[in-house]
Amino acid sequence: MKSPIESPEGDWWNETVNRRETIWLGLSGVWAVTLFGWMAGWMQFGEQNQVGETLKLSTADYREKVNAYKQGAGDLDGALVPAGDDVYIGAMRYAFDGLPAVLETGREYVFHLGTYDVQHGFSVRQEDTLSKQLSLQMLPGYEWKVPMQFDEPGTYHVVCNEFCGTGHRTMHATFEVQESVPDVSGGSGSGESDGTGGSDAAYDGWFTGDARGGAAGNWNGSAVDETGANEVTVTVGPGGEYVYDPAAVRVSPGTTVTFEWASPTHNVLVESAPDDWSGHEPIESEGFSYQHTFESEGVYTYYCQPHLALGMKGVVEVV
Amino acid sequence: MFGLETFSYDDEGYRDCSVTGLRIHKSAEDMVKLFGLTAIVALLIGGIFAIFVALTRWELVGLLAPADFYTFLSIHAWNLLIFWMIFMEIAVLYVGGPYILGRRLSLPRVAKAGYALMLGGAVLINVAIWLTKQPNQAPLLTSYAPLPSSPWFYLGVVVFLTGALVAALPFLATIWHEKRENPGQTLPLVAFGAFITSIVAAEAIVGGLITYVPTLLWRVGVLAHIDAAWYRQMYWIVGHGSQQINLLAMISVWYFMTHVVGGAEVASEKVSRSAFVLYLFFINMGAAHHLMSDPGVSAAWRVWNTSYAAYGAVIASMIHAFAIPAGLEIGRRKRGEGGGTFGWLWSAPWKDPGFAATILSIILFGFLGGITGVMMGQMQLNMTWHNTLATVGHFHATVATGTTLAFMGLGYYVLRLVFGREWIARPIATIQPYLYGGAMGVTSLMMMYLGILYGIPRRHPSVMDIPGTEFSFAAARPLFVIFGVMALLSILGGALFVVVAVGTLLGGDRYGGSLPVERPTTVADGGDHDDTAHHLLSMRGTFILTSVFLGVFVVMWALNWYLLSQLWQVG
Amino acid sequence: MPETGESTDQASEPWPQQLLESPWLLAGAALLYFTLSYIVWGLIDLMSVKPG
Repeated sequence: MKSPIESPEGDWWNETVNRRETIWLGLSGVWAVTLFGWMAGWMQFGEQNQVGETLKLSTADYREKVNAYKQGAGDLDGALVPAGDDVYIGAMRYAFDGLPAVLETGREYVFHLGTYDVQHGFSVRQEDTLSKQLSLQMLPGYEWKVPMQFDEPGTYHVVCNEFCGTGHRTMHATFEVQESVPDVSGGSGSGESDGTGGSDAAYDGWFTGDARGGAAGNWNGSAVDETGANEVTVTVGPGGEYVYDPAAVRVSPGTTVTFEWASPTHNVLVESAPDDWSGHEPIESEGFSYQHTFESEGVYTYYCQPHLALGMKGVVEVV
Repeated sequence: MFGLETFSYDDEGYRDCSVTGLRIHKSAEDMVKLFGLTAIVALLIGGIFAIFVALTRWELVGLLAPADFYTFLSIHAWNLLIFWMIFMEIAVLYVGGPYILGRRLSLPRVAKAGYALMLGGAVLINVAIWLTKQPNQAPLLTSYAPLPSSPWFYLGVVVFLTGALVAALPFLATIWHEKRENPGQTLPLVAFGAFITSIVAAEAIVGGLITYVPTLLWRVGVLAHIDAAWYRQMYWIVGHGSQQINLLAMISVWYFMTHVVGGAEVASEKVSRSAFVLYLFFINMGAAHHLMSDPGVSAAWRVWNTSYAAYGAVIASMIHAFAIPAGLEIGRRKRGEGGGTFGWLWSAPWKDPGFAATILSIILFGFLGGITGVMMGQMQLNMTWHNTLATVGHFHATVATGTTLAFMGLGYYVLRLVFGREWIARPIATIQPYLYGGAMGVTSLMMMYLGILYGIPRRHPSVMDIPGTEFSFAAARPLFVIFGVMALLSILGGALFVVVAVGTLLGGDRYGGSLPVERPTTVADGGDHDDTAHHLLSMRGTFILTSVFLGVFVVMWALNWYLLSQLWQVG
Repeated sequence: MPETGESTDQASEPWPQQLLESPWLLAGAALLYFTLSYIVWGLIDLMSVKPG
């Protein structure tokens, strides 16, 4: 009687093993070797291997790389056309910077995957065949270079499948794969607008979707004039909306602008400025206020980092 | 303890179980009851939150607002994957050690301290998640840095993990004393399995502390920076390791239950114990499964670790997959319980919920959970599984139809043998394992199809309606209907277990000591062993079953690789 | 206490059986192996990532 709840006696090591159990052991060993050998072998003879160089860099440095890439890229109906074989994608809460893009069939690209803030997922599928899909992890602090080549033209949809915050479910982007794509040399694409120079009311399109991020929801084409006032208030996220109110304000030099938060998870990052204003990077919640006295003449463009993709942008123009 | 049991102890605190023949001390039994009942409370909470999660992912109902989804999902996950499991596993350790060995539980006050820490940590975690507000985010299960959660959450995790480690110490001390007092003796197989479980658990928990202590320090501002890749590598030691505790505990329970209720014996001590040792060395390498589609770690590291050292641990699983039914087959053949190839199986007590739950757990874990785990752990296949709903299908198959069902089966016999009470509502108890196992099995399958064939992302409340685009996963709606209905049936199946368990505790009759098999031990028989050597008893029924299993494994594996080969070129 | 077999004279047991009866040795070896294969090797990989 060999009970699993009693101690076996004597030498149990040398007890004969049942013939079928022995055969099963052999089959298990063969299967284990097959599993291992196939996986290792696919790295040599298979065409799908998520292997590529990783680089370590700050999120700010990666953002600059993506910006430089975008500036050198061409434009095709609002989508980026990579200048070379590199395709840069920067994920952030809540958008994929660098997309939409247009790629060519049969060309081996190197996808550069990284994020500007937290972990995100790069989950891609073919529009017409949802079962053709893959997911790769994107991490802040790292740039992962994964070669990819597409042989089937069509629209490819990207969603984020790593929980990244309340806007996670809104993260969606596309890229097109076409048989042929016009060659691009030099930059004519939608890189950063530099925003400096003159008080052009359109601010080089800062509030539109042509500039970085989405279109500002509350931009009506002209700035609020507060020149002559010593103190001006800009409300950050009134009523929970992803806007600064007013979106653009014109002030005299030496005016103190008070940014008052009316909802959570916003900050004030500087896109461009005539001096070294650095905005307010920490994410704050309602009740917080931050003040800055704007001295130099020129156009200061700023935005809310988590909601750039949703168009939360502002301008202070000092005249 | 609790005043719900019907047994009494002698002056030294022992009682003899007339059914199993075990000599049980009150110090161990009190703790088994305490940890076990707490586990069932966690099961209940996690199950209630399951309703909200399932009815939100089934977007036809879309119960929760998207913002609430993540909080409810987190509470569902922590209570079922961690608290239900780990409280129950400490109870399993106290059965596998002191009960099996007939000893007192060593260091009983340490056990109580461990319980207090675990309970405190669990409450803190639940409250911290429930009260999550900006800028904190719900942690889900994984709390991936640098997405911040409440500092109290991280503190709660550190407290809970420390408590689990403390609660494991009395088991280890019991084993220590047993080995010192009886140096030439081999631990019984179930006790050996429990020991392996405890080391795998210790490994996982220490990994968790290595992860969460620095993360807590980061969250409160003591550490300036936390590296996302380091976090993931360390986190998954406890993330996956905690589930490997489930695997080990479940397998130990399978040996125990097939023996007590089905009359199984040990087919080969050598083979089963070697398999446990393979697990001991290699099973926690499976943490690497979660890093297959990650930057940072090298391909060589990924291939070696994900394979559990060239599939050493998979061999172990396949060994137990044979040894456990084989043990049942030879045990029942010996007792004249079955002729022919499968007579031993048909004649088995399928109406006994302890038996049914155990066997269903073995079948469903193997076919649904184990196979999919190996597949998505293959580095390249992982690309098509990673972060899709298919991974959720996998771990519901393993944790729900596997470990939870096995623990339910054990629970039925704890009610009889520890509390001495007979089950109320016997017809409900009889069908409950089938309802839960069947419904949850289909639910898991649906999630796997949705993930692999439609690429549906996990952790997402609105794939049918993505703001800002026309694109959606609407093509998958029909499968979501099946998923939703089956998920509700599964929850009902789980609820019925809780109802029967609580009802039995409060109002069950005294258990009369009947078992589906003749008493499986030979305690009073005087040891007259006219015993057939096990290798001479036929295991042909088992061999056919495991061959079918292997066939399914090969076919599913090949299909997955075929699907991958149709994907565009990567790398 | 359930009926258990006589204690075997350990020296007469085959060495694999002695090994399987040494739980602390097995545990220590396994912990060491895991630390090296999963933790240390992985950390070396992460620390070797080149700056970008």
